[in-house]
Amino acid sequence: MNHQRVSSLLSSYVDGDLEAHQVVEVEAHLETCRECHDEVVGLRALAAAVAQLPRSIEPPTDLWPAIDSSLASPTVKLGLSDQTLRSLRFPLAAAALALIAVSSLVTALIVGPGEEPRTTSASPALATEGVSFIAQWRRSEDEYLRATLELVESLDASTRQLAPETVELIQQNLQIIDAAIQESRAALAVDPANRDLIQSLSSAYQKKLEVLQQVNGVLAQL
Amino acid sequence: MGDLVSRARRGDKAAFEQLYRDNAGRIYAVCLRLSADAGHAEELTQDVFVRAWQKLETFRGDSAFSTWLHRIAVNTVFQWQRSENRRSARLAKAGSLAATPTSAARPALQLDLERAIARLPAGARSVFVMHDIEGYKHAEIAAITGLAVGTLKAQLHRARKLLREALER
Repeated sequence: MNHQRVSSLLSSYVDGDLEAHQVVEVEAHLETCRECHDEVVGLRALAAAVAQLPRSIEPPTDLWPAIDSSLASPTVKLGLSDQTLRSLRFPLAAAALALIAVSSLVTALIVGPGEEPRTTSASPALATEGVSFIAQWRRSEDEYLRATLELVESLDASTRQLAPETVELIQQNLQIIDAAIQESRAALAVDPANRDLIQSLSSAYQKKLEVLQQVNGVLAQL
Repeated sequence: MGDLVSRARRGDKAAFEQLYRDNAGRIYAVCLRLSADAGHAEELTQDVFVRAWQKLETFRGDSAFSTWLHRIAVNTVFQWQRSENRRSARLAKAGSLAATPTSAARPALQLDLERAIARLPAGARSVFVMHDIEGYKHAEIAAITGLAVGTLKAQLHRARKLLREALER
């Protein structure tokens, strides 16, 4: 093996990356070549110096405030962002029970007693015809509103523990849904048996329920 | 999976802050050495932790959190290096490494070595930092950079040669 070839292998030799036969040839060359010998000594000295370099260097300034502010920019959408939901801290045991009751009611409204579940999108919230259906809907709606109110009150009670921007975001999202609910209720007041309007209102209720369920689900993991 | 990581995965920012405190030095060091610029290293370190927060759901605990975070850091820096505009800015500011406040307390030989590393050509520096300082294997570096192992070895050989020459002056 000539000098140029050995010289190109010295880094790998120092790293222990050469095949056995290459090691033999390189070491034979090193015994006779001062330049390559010195290069190996230099490479080993460099490796030793590198080994002394600190693996950790503290940033000159605390970067956490800037990072923190980047993390605190939740996405505004109809439902609350996961990040916002995760930041919620409020006692929800009683509200969680109410939520289960509400979920059952809405499911009953959508599915109907004794029927196989139907997809919400494929059917009006309440497909049963007649006056009994309207009465059932209104009773269930009252219970739904009562239970939802408990959840919202729990949320209100917790606002002291939340960042102002988080509270604002929650309120914005709930206001969007409440506006849709009010619109549907106003239309239903004029046309109380309109199945499309009932479906629209049920859908808005369901969205609000989903937001609150999302909160409940995240809190259950804390 | 550690308690801090589990809590951070559930959105606990206090836990994530502690993970930052525990790992910031290691991440800043690799960003600083790969970028060769203290200012960019700070920005990159911030990016790394923001990305880590966004990706926490994907962390399954197959490796140590610090290893997972380190990989995000390396990928973040390499993405940054691929940006032509930022590369130009980096070259314009190269050499500011020695201006970091932490430099004052370190031995002169280490500072000479750090400065020499910072002045290496970008490709040679990246391979040297990844292999000789961070301990990545050639195959791992090849997977990250997309370069052939033979090319990496040549870059490493060049980097070591230039460093030896710089330190012998």
